[in-house]
Amino acid sequence: RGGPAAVAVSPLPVSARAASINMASLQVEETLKRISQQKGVEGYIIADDVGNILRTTFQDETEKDMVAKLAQDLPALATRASSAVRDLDPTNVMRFVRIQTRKKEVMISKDTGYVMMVVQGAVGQE
Amino acid sequence: PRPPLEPQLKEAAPLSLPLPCWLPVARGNRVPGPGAMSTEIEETVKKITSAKGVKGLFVINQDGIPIRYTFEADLVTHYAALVHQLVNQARSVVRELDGTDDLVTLRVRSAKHELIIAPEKEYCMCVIHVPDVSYD
Repeated sequence: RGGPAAVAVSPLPVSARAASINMASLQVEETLKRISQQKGVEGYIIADDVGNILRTTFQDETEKDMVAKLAQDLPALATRASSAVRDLDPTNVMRFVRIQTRKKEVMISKDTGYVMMVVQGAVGQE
Repeated sequence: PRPPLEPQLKEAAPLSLPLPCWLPVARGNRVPGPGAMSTEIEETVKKITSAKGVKGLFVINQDGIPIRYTFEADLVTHYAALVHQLVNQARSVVRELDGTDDLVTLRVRSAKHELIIAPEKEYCMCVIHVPDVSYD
């Protein structure tokens, strides 16, 4: 058990691995920025399974309530839709759920451990 | 495992037979009579089902019972049960978030197809649609 710890974990030398991690997170940042700048998009919320908010563009105090409620309720809905899809065809997998109301549109993408919700203005509003 | 949805569309089940007396008459579950109204419905159903990529269509009432459908009855019952629960949950979520707002459309996009669900006051229509782009 002697010797340096964690050096031989990855085949890449440490600096290259750090560089690739940086690249990946840069891509993530760029994608998130691109999404939030799309026409009609009011913002996005990335939450985990329990409803804790990991990232969001809604920083206003007035919107904190709405954001918390969205992060609580929408993942459950997305899970239900996803299990409905699986129930109908076990080989199928759900990609998105899109909720359109009169005032807003929310697009939900669920993955293991994370939920991403993008809030947009009403349909037809740009 | 349930077979995937067949591409052939069957004629919508006609509702001209009287309902058996032991069947509880659900709210809004009235047998539509013949006349101009039915033709309009049939025309709309035809127009939607003939659109590109549409695999099937069904309409459920407030209790989740399919009253119009264009594919096999047992598959429709399965879809109807799931869509009914989903719509109810979505509607309550929307109401909870904003009491004045209301659900207009719910779209569930999966790798193989997309369910476009349009709830109304008394009924809910669901269209099964296979878009050109596939998400794999």
